[in-house]
Amino acid sequence: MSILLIDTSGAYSTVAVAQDGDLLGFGTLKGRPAARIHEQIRTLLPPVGITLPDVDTIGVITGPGSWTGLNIGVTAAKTLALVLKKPLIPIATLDALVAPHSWTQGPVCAIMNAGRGRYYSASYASNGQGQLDLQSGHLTVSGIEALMESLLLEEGTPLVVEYGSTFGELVSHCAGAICHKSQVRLWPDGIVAAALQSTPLHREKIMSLTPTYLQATLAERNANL
Amino acid sequence: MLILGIDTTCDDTAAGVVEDGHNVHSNVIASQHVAHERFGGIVPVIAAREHTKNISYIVHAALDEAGVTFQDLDAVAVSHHQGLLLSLVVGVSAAKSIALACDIPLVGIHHLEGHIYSNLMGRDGELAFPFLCLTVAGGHTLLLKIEDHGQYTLLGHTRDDAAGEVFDKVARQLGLGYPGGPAVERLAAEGNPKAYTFPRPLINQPHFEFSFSGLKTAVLQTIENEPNANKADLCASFQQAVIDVLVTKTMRVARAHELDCIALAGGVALNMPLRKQLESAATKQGYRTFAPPLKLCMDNGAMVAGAGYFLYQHRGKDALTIEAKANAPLGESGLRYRPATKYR
Repeated sequence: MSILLIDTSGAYSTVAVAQDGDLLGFGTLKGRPAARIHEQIRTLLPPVGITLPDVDTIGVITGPGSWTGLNIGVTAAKTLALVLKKPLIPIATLDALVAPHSWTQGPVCAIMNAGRGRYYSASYASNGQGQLDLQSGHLTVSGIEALMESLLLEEGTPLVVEYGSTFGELVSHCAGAICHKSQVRLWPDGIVAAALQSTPLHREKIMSLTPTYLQATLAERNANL
Repeated sequence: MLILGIDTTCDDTAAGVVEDGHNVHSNVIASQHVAHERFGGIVPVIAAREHTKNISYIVHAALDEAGVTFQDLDAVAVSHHQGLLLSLVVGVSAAKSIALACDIPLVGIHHLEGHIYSNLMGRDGELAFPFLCLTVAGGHTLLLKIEDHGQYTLLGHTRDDAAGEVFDKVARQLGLGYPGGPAVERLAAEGNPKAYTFPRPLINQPHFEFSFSGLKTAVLQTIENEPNANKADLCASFQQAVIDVLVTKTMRVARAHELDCIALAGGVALNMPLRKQLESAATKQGYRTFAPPLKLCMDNGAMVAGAGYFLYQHRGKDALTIEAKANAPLGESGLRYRPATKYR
């Protein structure tokens, strides 16, 4: 089964193609290049010998992450899926971050920066064979201390942290935890692994798919909605 | 040639299917008014979220209404220039996916070209180049000389607010809801246009620039100072001030540039008194006026498909790398104009 994957949730825009769980090829662009994902897809497929109509499934990172990036990526993916009549797999960003670090049985947590001193986090139970079950997801938590408190980390819990500008600061607050840098933005193996664990959507659900924004807009917060 | 046009420029998600630039098979619009009403104006991030939520439904509705499928399309056109950036990118992303998946040409147009070309749609040869176009909406107020396909000369534009935006602000202050244009027009029909003497900014100046912020302030102050004022009289007097300025300047520029065909475009072209008074003034001079069918005046997908058809014939397709731009120059000469206050 072949799958075309799109991630525009972060500082990179990534397209990847995988066959039966193996990454066949991918491309990443840094900056705010979500506008180029279609061109990335067009150039990615021929060298790996797959045409767009041959792709069995489309997968897309649905968030949390960049508001505009997600709007572009989710719109691109759902339109491709609807035109090509393919199923669409929505993939949570935190699932993709944590997926490559799921080979030890027990709890594992994923954290990513949400900006303005906030973080997204999720706790999972891993069966040690790549299967992750979400235990709890924190939408946004203010401040690192509050975040650490809410996670209730046991000694030795692996913590997967999105690699970026706040990585060092986060790690310094994670005494007792084993911190892993998530490189999913540069190497989309986690997106492939997470896609294999997610349930594909069909037509009606694809039409109504929107990104997982999590944070309310400033206008909504100000209006206390 | 069957073209799907997509417009997500501001707060309406729109798609339409047009054959050969003239025959409108469908024109579907999802309005976001309810989503923005509680904030008293358009919130760009919310507009983008609503577009993302609505886009697939609207595209499919446009195809269903036209009785066609993606495989029947010969090209896809999209407004990628001019508007709210966060909104534009959603339509552009959908259009690129359709172009890529169907292997058909992508045609990116300037949103203003959609409004301009709405005058040529369904009028094969009747309106010939060059002509004058007064395009007036919530985001712009411009006088353009349409020289040829993709070739425009700027003759005048607003220094501050767009005329449509002032309609919205006045309507908001009077509690008439959004969009303000139709609400003000309805109430104005029952009022006396001479009840209040509002300023007609720059009307006696020999140049062709507009300014509506002073008029806006005058009307808003009157509303504040006279809470019991007759709303119908206020609307009628305000509307007449806008029309006087638009008609006077348009006729002056038509005479100065010897353009005897005058086209009206944009959301404010829905305003019936404006249509009638412009036509009446033009007829007195022996000039002819044109205005699009009402369904092609508001932001819509059919006008994008129409413009896409003519511009594709003229300059071919675009690459998948085209990017959305909020304030983009217009046409082949890269015509720059000052965006109305709303888009600065």
